[in-house]
Amino acid sequence: MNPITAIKVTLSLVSLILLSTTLGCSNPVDDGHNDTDHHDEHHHDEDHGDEDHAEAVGVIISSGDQQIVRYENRQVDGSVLVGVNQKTPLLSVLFIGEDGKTFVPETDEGFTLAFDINDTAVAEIEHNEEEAPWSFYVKGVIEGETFVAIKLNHSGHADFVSKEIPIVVQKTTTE
Amino acid sequence: MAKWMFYLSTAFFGVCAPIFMPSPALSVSTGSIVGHVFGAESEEGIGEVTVFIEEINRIQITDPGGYYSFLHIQPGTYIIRSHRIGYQETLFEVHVSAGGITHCDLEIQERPLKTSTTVVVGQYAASSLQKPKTIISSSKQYHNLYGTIAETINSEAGITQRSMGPASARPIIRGLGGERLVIVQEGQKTGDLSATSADHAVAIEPLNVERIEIIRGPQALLYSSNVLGGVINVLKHSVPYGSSDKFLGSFSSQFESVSEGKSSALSLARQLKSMTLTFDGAIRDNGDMSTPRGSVDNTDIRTGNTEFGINSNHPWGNIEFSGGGYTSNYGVPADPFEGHALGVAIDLQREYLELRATLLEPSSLINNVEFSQTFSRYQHKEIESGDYVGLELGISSQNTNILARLDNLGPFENGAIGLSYSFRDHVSKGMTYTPSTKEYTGGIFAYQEWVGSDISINAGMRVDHSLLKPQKRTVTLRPERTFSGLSSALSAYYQSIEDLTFGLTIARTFRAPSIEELYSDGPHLAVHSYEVGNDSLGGEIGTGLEGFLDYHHDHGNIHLSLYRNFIEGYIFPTNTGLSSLRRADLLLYKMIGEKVLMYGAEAAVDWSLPRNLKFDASVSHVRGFLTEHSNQPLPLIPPMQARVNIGHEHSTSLKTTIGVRMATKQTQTAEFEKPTDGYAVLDLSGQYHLHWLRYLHSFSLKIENITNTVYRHHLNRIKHIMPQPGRNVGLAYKVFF
Repeated sequence: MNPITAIKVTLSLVSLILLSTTLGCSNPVDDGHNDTDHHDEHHHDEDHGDEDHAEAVGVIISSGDQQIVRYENRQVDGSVLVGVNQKTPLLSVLFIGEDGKTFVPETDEGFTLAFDINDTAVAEIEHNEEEAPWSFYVKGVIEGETFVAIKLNHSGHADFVSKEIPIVVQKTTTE
Repeated sequence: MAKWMFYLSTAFFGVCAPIFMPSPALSVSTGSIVGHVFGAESEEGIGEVTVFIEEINRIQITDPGGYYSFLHIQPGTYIIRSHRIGYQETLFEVHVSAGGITHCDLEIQERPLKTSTTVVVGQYAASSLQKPKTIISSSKQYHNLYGTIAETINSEAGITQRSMGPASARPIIRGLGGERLVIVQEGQKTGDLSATSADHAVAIEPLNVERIEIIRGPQALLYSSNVLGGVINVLKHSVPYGSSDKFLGSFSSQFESVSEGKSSALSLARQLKSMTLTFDGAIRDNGDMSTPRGSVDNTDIRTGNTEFGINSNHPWGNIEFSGGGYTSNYGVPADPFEGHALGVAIDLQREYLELRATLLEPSSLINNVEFSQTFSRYQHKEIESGDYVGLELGISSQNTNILARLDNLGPFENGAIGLSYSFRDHVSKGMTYTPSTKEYTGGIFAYQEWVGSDISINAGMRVDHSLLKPQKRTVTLRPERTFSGLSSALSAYYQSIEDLTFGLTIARTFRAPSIEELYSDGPHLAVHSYEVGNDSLGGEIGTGLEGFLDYHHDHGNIHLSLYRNFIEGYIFPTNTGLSSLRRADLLLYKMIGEKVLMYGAEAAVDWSLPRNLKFDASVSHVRGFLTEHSNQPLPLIPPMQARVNIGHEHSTSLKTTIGVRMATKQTQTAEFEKPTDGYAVLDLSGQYHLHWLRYLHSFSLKIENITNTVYRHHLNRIKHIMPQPGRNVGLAYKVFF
């Protein structure tokens, strides 16, 4: 190869490598590293400004001061009891974080409570998302048993889903 | 990558084009090859034959009389490959001397219907190192009537496919798949995520594929340390178009009834002085798949693919710049039992730019040096109902390779030594805790052949080092990991009589865990699992032993092989049988590394029978065990499979084939894995081609699963809701111009 050709080849290669590097080096997905105003996206990074919430691994359902159901470490303790055509007292939800501490998620950050109930012919959930975002009622319909999974939704998908929690609807006795 | 980037790159190359123009000065130290290509039967010259010198990537097309010439060739010994539709591909060895003209007349055998993808399986298969003596287990033609690379090569012995719907099929070789089976395009990694999960598709459009090489043994170390599984090299322009003053190319269109699928592809090439410009485009639109039990919703596929290439040839070598884009939108069907209750739609997109340069004869020891640099960007979205993006993955990757091919180094005939570097930036977003991670990998490798009178040996060695750096702290701090490992392989061949060869391959492989295997943490909705990586995993170390026999005869070929692979630290996601802590609705899969023993056998025969009949058959069987767990079966191991075809060549233009595909019942299943019944399925196919108006036209018809049998593949993750396709009538037309 003569020197002029060598220079041409070298220039061509360098140009093409620089061009390819410029065009090809960026990742097509933005992980929010360089984006401080990234409210619409959800990525579970603790150093991401608006995402430093605890991650739920369990849930507690309480009636007043009394804990009636606790789901933790894949274990459900307790159940929700309600009479036919009756409603439970307002049941409140607390989530358990990885550190074992309980917390209530921030609705401002897009977290919502949701339910997945097996058989709405047996029992129904009443939940007013605006007035009591982390509380709900269970209403008995007919005698029997069904199950409900508690969900913590965020940006359209479930961050947390509990195991199925029993709901027992009992016949009410009149004296 | 935005389209404007491709326009910009094309425009840039236009500006740079003058740089690529050859210098007029020619050295008298070069030689020439001239010759005549003629038919063995007719003894008449044959036009439009591609004559290819693989070592220096030079191409010529014969004129209407069958004549060709190569000028300015460096002195040395070369392998010339002839390629023409309707004729057998043939290899010739020529020697070029300085200032001399070498005459090389090529006699080629007519072989009808070579209008499709060539699949080559070999211990050391076709490459620039290939000699005519090279042992190739099989070389077959398949019509591109299939929607995936896996389906195209599925009929080879020892090869099956895992899938999760029709779009996501990926090959499995000898029970090894995923990260253990590397799929490359033109020798370069594609940068997709098909190895990581059953629902991820291979980002290569098969419509325009010309050749698929399945490379095993020491030569696979030139690409990867995956010698046991092998390397699948997909070549779209293995025989690039050559000098011609008109457009060359092909157009094809296909239809299949089982999905009401329609697809079309166009390939174009044009020579401009010393430059060759190529363009490929393909589109596919398949509806939902029909099975004997009815249509399965959300199994539709839409793909689009465009690629361009610019190749500039010079006496000192060549430079090639190419790029392309591929998009695919496909569905993973709803699986209320073991998958996503409503199904998932997957959008993926891949773009790449590639630069290759070959420098010829830089020194007396080096035949040529090839430099290649590839950039690719891959984006993958899993979309749930309501258009929620449940998971989004992005990969940007860069691969750099330098390969020097050696000629007659001491007692060795052929060899190569090279370096590789790759960088991968993995970003995940959505409902996932997997950290963004950067992966840096470097490798050095060498390969050498020694050919004696009766015994031939080839050996390869490769050292890889990788560094994986999680970029951000997630809920749990993930550590950086580094891995280094040596892989090596040696194959020995003994040719007892002219047509019979015995061979033995021993191999030691090392594979570093992938980003997903180390750091994955999150729901994978398409497969209804919560996947957790294991950042304390070590590398996989495999030891393989294979004995094989190849018999080549004028009437056909026979191949037998037995193999045994022991892998320490075999990484796979194991179903824990527990639900995830965060998502109790999903089963928890954890990555573990175990000792695994796999062994198996393969046999394949193709033989010409009287009355223009041709018989080909293959059978393969593999077993895999977790040796630390009382030899419990390894999950997702295929059952024994067999295939028998009888073809009839009515004329050189018309061929029909009837065949049966079979598999036995698979009861050797892992914990939580379900058995699969055996099956036998009847297929019929026919091909016809004719020369009309100076163009070659090819027509293909296939009828698969004629009896509309309900059958299921064991490696189909959704086999319980989706049997394999029912009766399917496929039509294809292709014209070469």
